[in-house]
Amino acid sequence: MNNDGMLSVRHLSKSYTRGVVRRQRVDAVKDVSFSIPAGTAMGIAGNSGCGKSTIARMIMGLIPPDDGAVFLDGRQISGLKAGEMKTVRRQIQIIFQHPESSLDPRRKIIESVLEAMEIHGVKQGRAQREARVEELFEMLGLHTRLFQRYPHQISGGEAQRIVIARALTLEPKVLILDEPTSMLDASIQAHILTLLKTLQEALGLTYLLISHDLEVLCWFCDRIGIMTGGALIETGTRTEILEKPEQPFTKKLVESFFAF
Amino acid sequence: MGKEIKVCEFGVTFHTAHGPVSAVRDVNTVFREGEVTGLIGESGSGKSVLGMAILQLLPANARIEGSCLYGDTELTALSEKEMEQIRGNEIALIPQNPVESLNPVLRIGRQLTEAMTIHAPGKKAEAKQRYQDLMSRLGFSRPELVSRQYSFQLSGGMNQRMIAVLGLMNRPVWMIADEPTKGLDAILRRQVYEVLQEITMRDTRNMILITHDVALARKLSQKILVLYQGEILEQGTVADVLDHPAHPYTRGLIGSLPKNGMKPIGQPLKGREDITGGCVFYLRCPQATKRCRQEHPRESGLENGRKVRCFLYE
Amino acid sequence: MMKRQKTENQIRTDQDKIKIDAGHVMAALLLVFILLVSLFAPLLAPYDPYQLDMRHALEPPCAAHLLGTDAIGRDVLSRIMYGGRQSLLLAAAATGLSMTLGCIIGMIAGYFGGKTDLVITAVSNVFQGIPGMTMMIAIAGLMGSGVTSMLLALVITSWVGFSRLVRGEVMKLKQEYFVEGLKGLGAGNMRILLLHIGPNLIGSILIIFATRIASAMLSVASLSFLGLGLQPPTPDWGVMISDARTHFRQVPMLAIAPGVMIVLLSLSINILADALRDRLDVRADVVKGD
Repeated sequence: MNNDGMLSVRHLSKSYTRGVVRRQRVDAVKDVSFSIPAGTAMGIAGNSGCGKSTIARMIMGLIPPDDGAVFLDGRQISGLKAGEMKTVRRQIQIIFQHPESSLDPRRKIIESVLEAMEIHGVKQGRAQREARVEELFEMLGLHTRLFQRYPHQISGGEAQRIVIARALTLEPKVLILDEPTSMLDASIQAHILTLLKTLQEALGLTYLLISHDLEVLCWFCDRIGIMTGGALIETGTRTEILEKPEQPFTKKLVESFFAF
Repeated sequence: MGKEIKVCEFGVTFHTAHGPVSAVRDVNTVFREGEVTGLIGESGSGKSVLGMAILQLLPANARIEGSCLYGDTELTALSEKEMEQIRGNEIALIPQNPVESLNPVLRIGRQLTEAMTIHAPGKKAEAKQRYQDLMSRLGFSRPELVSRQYSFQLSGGMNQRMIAVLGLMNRPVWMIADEPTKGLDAILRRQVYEVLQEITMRDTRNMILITHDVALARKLSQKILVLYQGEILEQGTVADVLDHPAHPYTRGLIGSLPKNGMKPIGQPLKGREDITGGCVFYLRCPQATKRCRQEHPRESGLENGRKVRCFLYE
Repeated sequence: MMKRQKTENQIRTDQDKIKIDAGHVMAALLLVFILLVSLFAPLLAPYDPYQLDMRHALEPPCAAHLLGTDAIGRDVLSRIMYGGRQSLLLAAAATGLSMTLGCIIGMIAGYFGGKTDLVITAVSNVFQGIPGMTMMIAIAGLMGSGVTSMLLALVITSWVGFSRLVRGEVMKLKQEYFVEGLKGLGAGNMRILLLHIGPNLIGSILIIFATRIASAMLSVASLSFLGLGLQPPTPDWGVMISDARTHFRQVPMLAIAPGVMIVLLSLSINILADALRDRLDVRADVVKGD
């Protein structure tokens, strides 16, 4: 597998030990490799517990992989020291599944959003930073009156767009979207995914979208990978996955969706 | 045996520290026997509150207004004791969260048979037989084995099927399924669909299906009610409502599904301030007029028993 | 419009909202009263609490001495007014120190986990295992009675309560998505601990702080009663009860007055701590929209 894409992972593996008396090794992720060309979106589909979120966390350096490596724009980013990792974090950001708990409950929205720029020293002074946030809020259709609210005073859709705005203040190249809309209503999901599409074109972002919803992935992504039991069993374009699935699990997944 | 559920001028208000909050308003509809009615809506639409209000399973600060007739019985006038006889025996619930609905320290077999022996203490053997039958029908190959287990030992899909067995134990006349596919992945969702289909084919066709899952509602129901912020905006047959949606909200909801290209419903439009008294969908409606802001639309009747709460159809 | 937008869960939260309770108000007024009297005792007390007057020893309550006088003729009312000052200060200082120590240790154990946590938990278990009063008597016995040894004894027996609570809370918060999100943003451990986890702990720490102050008060009184704490002739409730042992059959007020003060003070603090717990449990004022 080449690693000349914007984001590539090679032979990524992670296992946990479970149980106290009879210790078992559970492979959360088994030898996963893929590469995402710049400016495109790749999707990973799979059922709950298939290891797709573990991949996201390993790419972000939130948990160390047992084996394998992550490359961002050709440079290895796994196994970096904390200081070096910090500069990488500006270029790769993650959006989690639970919008309501993605923001510090005791901080006002504006403080939470500004913090990203404070950590990395992006822009000088509060006024300039606030201006940038206003710009991004406008782009995401958010009202600036939300600045002074607390996370429990806003809706899930608003929270998720705010988290996206916060990630964008760092001007990342890659966004990892870990089930970003699975807790949200269909009409809100449509709104957020459409926004993300527009942003991709405007800012040339590269996406990794992780979801259990094959329909969403088909709509959003250029290429889709299917995961089960920690392994990436098949990757292909939307048409390849939907019309010529090779693996039995892929077939079953596609059927489950289009039975409806 | 058959009885329909008819609700008139029905509403639910919660009395909170910040004053009354209306969760469901002005609901007029008939859940007819022999058909599955899908209650669709997004979070905060009041669909679960409406379902639970029929069974009177609401928090203590909730007040129910209007009438809810079950056959000739006015459910809202019954005492808690009488209501207990209705629940489970006549109208059973498949609750939203199967794991939380079971006692984690009791064995499954005991909990399920108890559902029947509570109402009829002498029928222990019959209850066991019914348990065996239902479990094997819903895909448990060895019911006697599962009977000795606890709910946390079962997978999500198994729990979901088991909770359906629990609802069916007393041969209820009506079934209310509350968000049966919430948070499930594709394969589990399909299993749940098959279980519900099995129930409607063999146990009872009288079902109220509360769901955000439009595709599921389309596959199972004959009639659809669309709720938005506590009001029914549109009701009618599946084909009418889902294939030719009339209300701007229903149109938006259907258009926002991934299958239909995920066209988002507008967000609250700039320059439209919050209102009270007008149409609940005014803020996001692409076709709103000045009138929608000031006046609250009534339900207008269309062909085929269809009703739409919008001035476009007056 | 905004009221309609509330979701079902929020309605449930609102329903549990706490109303202002008359009992809580009484407790608060009582506490404020005791604190004010203690604070302004030098201005309010009718007599010098140390002043002997053997001619008027063991007098029952009368116009000149509203609560009577003790065995050596000191005014009981004045001594009651002064009697809370030292033990309150001591209890507050000891609880404050325990809190600081407990928070630091608990945060380190909860946040970093692993071996650090194992060691800290093992040590805490040892401290937890020693009965508080026995420990205090032992320390006072070893170091001699006095303010320093009492302070030390109180801190040693109560920091574990804080560190356990903080450790548990931090472990819970660490799992929250917002903490993971902050790590993803590149925030360092110190930033996350001090600016994000810390503020989220304040509520639970306050509650336990309040309960601990009440029990520390009781401990100070008990130690002083046993002669291991504050020493006569210090005007202190515990010391006063101790002094009253020989004479309280003739003049019961000598034991009753300080006893009642100790009960009232710890009762009011406990009631308020409970009220605080109820209040902070609920995420108050959940209203969406404008």
